[in-house]
Amino acid sequence: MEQSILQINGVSRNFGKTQALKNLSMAVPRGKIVGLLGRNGAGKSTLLRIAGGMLRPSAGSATIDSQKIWDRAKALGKLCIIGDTPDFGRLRKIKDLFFVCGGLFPDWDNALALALVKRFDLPGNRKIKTFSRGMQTSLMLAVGLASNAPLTIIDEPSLGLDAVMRERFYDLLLEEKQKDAGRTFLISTHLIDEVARALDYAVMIDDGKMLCEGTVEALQAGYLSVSGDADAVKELTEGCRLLKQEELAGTLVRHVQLTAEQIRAIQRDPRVRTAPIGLQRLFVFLTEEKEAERNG
Amino acid sequence: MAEWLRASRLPGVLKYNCKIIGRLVVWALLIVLGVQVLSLALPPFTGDSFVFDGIRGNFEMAFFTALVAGILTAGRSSRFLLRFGTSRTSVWLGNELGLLIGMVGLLLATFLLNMLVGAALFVLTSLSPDLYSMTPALYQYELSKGLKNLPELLTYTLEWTAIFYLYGCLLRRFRVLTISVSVGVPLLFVILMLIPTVREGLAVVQGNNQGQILVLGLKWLQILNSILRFIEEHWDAIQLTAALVSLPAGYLVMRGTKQP
Repeated sequence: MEQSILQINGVSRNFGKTQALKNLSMAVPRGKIVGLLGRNGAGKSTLLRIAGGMLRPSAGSATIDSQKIWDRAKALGKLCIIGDTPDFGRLRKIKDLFFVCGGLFPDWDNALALALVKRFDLPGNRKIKTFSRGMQTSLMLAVGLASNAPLTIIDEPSLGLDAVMRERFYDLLLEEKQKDAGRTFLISTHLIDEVARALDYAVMIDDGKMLCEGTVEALQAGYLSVSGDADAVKELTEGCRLLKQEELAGTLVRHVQLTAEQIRAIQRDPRVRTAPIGLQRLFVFLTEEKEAERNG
Repeated sequence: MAEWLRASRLPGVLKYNCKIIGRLVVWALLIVLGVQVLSLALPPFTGDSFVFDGIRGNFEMAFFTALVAGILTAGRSSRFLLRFGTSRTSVWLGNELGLLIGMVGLLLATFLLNMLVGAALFVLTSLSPDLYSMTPALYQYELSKGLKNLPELLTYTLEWTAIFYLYGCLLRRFRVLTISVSVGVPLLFVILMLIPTVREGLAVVQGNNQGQILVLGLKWLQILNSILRFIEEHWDAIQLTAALVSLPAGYLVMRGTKQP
């Protein structure tokens, strides 16, 4: 069995003159909760729609377990995609939706779906169209979790959900992951800090291109904030990839990318302090760096 | 095969169509039932005797329902199913099967309904022989006539259902063009039929050679007439060909339709 469940190879996608994805390659590791992080318009939804078989790439290929996705039942049968806009077709009731899902997803767990309806405080007997946007999103998330699909893709799960429901969703996500270690979740969001606690792996994209990818642990370990005496910070971070520099009350803070050896050396030096860069800040720094490059 | 069926999500597509097309069929049946009940209930109030239509499948209702169901299925239903990552092949196959089964079911149900109305007439005839009339011989005759016509009606229903699904797919993909063609082509025929009449009228008004223009107009009408006659004579073959072409064409049109 391959290490990755979803493979994106040199994918580009044009919409008229706009290029939403630019020769993007990535692999989604099996059995992980993967965050696809990016700003609005970075190409996240386009990438997910290609991965979900809804869009055909202009160039490159998208495969699930090395099987092409576009209009291939075998590959598509392994995934469940929950879009950012809730859509229930012409189905009126939750029980109708679950009845249909029972046929759409080979490993559908109806008992879990009903339990999730309760966990999300959804009114089981009301017509779906009378639900608020948040309730509709919750229902879609319940479908995604109960689908038991080997690869579950969720586009912007936070849209319309209040803070309590968002936290509840991340808890449920972790619960489901614990129950079935083989399941893979690919979640796109721009609320990075919120989702960070649930993620095993992160892929950051900007302007249709890859910014960086890796396990959350490795990403957070490789990038550090070094602060302290200005001369010492400058000396110790000399030659490192500098993401951002800030001066706060006579203290210099440099956010840098470091090798394991450099980290050990810096952490031994009593003149400076180090702190991990949060995923969201790292994303912001990397995006700003790219933006500066683009603007010359 | 079993593995493909499991992965294809075809059972899910059929379940969805069972809910949506099933609901539409039930509504259509309720309308037919309502009309029948109303027509059965009216004679005591109007004083006119009840005219029994005979035992037959209601093709007109199946035709209209197939049009509505075809448009709905090719539109919002397909979008919903594709959004969950269902393959286009499964959506197309499930939709075609759902529509064909649904419309055949509707036609057969209307046939059964007419049989029941006929049976109800026996009771009403015994209660009010002036207003209602049904005899075992008439019932037997109408039933055998209806059964004889049923295969033809079923074929027509299947053919039109396939055509309407393609129409729905075209409407979803090329909305403006499809509406323009569906309104424009019949309009063109009407205009072509009217042109000779208009010309003649103008010629009379302008005092031109009426005889010559009348001949031209007649020739034009003859051409149109021969086209219409050809269509009428070969209508069954044209309908069957259109239906057979519609089946794969529906898939091809749907396959290339963009998802929102």
